[in-house]
Amino acid sequence: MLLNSVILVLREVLEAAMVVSLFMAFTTVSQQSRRFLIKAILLGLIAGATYAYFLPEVSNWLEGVGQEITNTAIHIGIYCCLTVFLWLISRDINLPNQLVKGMMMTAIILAISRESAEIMLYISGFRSDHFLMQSVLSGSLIGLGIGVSCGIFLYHLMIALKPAPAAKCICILVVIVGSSMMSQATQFLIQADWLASSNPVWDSSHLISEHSLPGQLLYALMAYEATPTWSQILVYLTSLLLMLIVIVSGRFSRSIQHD
Amino acid sequence: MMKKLLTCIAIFMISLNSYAAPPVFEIVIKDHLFYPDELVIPANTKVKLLVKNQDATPEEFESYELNREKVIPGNTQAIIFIGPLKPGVYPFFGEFFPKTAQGRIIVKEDGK
Amino acid sequence: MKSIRLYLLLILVATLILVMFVSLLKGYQSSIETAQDLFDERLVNTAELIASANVAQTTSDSAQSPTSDYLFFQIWDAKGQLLTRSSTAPHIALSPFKKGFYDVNFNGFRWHNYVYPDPQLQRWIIVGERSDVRSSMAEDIVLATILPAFFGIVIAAILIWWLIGTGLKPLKNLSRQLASKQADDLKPIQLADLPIEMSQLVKIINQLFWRLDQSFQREQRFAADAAHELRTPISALQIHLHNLRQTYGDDSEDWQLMQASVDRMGHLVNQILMLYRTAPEQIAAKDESIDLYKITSDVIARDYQQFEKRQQHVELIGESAMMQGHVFALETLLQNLLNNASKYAPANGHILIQVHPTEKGVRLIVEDDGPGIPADQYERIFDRFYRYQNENSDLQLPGCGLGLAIVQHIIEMHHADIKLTNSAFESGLKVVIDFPAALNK
Repeated sequence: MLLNSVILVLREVLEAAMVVSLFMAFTTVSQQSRRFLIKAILLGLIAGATYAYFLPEVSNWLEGVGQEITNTAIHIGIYCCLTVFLWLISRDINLPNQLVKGMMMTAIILAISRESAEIMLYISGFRSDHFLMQSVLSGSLIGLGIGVSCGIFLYHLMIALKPAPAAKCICILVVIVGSSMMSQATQFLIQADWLASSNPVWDSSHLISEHSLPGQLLYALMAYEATPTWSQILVYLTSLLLMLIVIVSGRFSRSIQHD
Repeated sequence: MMKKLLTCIAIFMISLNSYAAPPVFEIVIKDHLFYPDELVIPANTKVKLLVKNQDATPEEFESYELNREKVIPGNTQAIIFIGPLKPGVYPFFGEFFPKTAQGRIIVKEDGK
Repeated sequence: MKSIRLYLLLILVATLILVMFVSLLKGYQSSIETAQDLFDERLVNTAELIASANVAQTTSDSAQSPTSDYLFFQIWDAKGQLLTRSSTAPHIALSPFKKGFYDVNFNGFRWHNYVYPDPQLQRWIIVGERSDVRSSMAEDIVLATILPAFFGIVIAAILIWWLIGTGLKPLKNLSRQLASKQADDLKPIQLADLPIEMSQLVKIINQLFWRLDQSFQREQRFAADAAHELRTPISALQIHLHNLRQTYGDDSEDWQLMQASVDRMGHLVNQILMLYRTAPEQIAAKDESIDLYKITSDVIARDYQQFEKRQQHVELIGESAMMQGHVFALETLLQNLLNNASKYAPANGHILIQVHPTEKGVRLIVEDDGPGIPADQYERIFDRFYRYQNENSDLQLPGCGLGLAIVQHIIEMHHADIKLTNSAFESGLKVVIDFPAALNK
């Protein structure tokens, strides 16, 4: 049970830790206050608890696919926030900017609410079983510790760079995380039967299995699927391209302003 | 204009759904076990899985091979669409109790 | 505030956890696989053992016992008849009759089964173990080897915290030495066992101290020497002027103006000397126990002439107030304050002085009924050579603008607080000074 909890919590924490540490690094590199990030994390936890509490009702919405649609909405929401964030910071705006702050906060709240809801549901399942609860709690704590360590590591890696390459790195990682959000959203839409399913385009499970450690890490980083469908690949590439276009156009408008 | 478009989409989706009307298969979760733990479904057909969680604890239906994950709170049921799939064996498991909650979906061609 | 220690701890522990975790997870996976293989082998052995120990070929309905409740067996003949079974097993075949391992649900548990074809008696032997027991046993074995590593991380974190602290000790010592330095202490810093990374820093700091010390000394010596050297010619000038006036017996306005100018010059030179003598670098306050009330009344008595000349009313209210301080400095402070008050108060004006002991020390208040000073000037009047000029009055007052700078020096020396407000009279300035009872901070 212990190691099972470690893996489960780690999988969830890793994704949220990525988003938070990227923004942490961004605020440090651009020399802004970081207090609002902590506020966002707390709000995200509250939102997660609320989501977990109402999950039985949410699941029943829309003929039983409410959960998938809510998750889709959360993922698309994160993607939108990240895209607007990229657009704002590629333009020549003065930081700190309220809109940039708002985008970061919303993205963190959404990411944490979805990931923490699952962890809270998982742990709450052991309420009555004190014996298992102990190992589940300690496993969760270890998983949390490892996930947070990854975040700290990523953060210090980013701020160890010079500001200009650090900003570039952050942008690239935001693009990767953002596109993976859209890929997951597509996955949920297929699961809810709102999007037609099709046969997988390829099967790379013999190369990197989703059960393996690299597979899990790749999943956390870019929603790796061993057997993706056309719609997923299409949405992934489109979202990636859209974010890149947003960055380029933002920079372009900046250079025009300067001329 | 927008409203018209939305109703069009809605009608389209409803008609699509009623037209497809996928077969329903039931899986029960009890004592952190899946019943049945082996489910045979037809190949190349979309299938609606009705997963009933009869435990008090939540469970997450997860399958890497099927690319599905869904949290099912205690004493509720959930709908998961799968397929159309090629013939083969697709394992699934409960992420919250992976040691016991294990099962397989076996996809077979019709008539075999 | 960024802490080097916290940063190092975080980044080191995070690295440690990540590297350890990945290797532990890898080890966990292969250990679990090995354990499962081991359990499978045991299951095969059990099946073979049952085959050789039990030779039943006819059906016996009575369940065989004992078996532990996480193990079961069934023996079937070739025709699919149940020959015998353990009490934990049902009457139906739990796995297909084909050699190999299977996973099934029954009795509310998941079972890992092995189907063994008995070649001698043409029977099928099905043996099964509960999966959850198997995995928890496997996990116990693996955890027993892995768990110490987690405690290891905690111990490592504590050790790292302590070691970083030791490593940063020279830096801490340096900052402590710098923080505890007195304002007038410009001696170089001495640190034993200086690490090479810091030797340059300490060298530069010490050079800075040395240069600062040199320039302080030069400035003080120059000002004091200049003032001192000027005193002799000014005294001579005063004597010569006096003699000239005697000789010519002339008492015209020119003579008076000249006399006033020479007097002012003398006063200025005296004040400059006083300013440097009272500078905090120059004298450290001695913790003499004194009565501020007594000193105040002495100073008033000594300077009574200047109040009498302008027929000003001087009033001292208060009682004996003991505090620690420097007698000469406090006398200078009072002289300057009273001098200012007398200067700005009109003829026939009032000057009110109060000395009271308070909870924390002694409070001195000096008020006059002069024109006062606007609040926005309060900060500036302590500057050297700054004199506040009331635009409405064309009254040209003698003074060099050093009095309050001297007062400021003495206040700093005694760690006292000074506040300026409007006086209780119709107009005028009120100076409130709070002295702490003891000098040590």
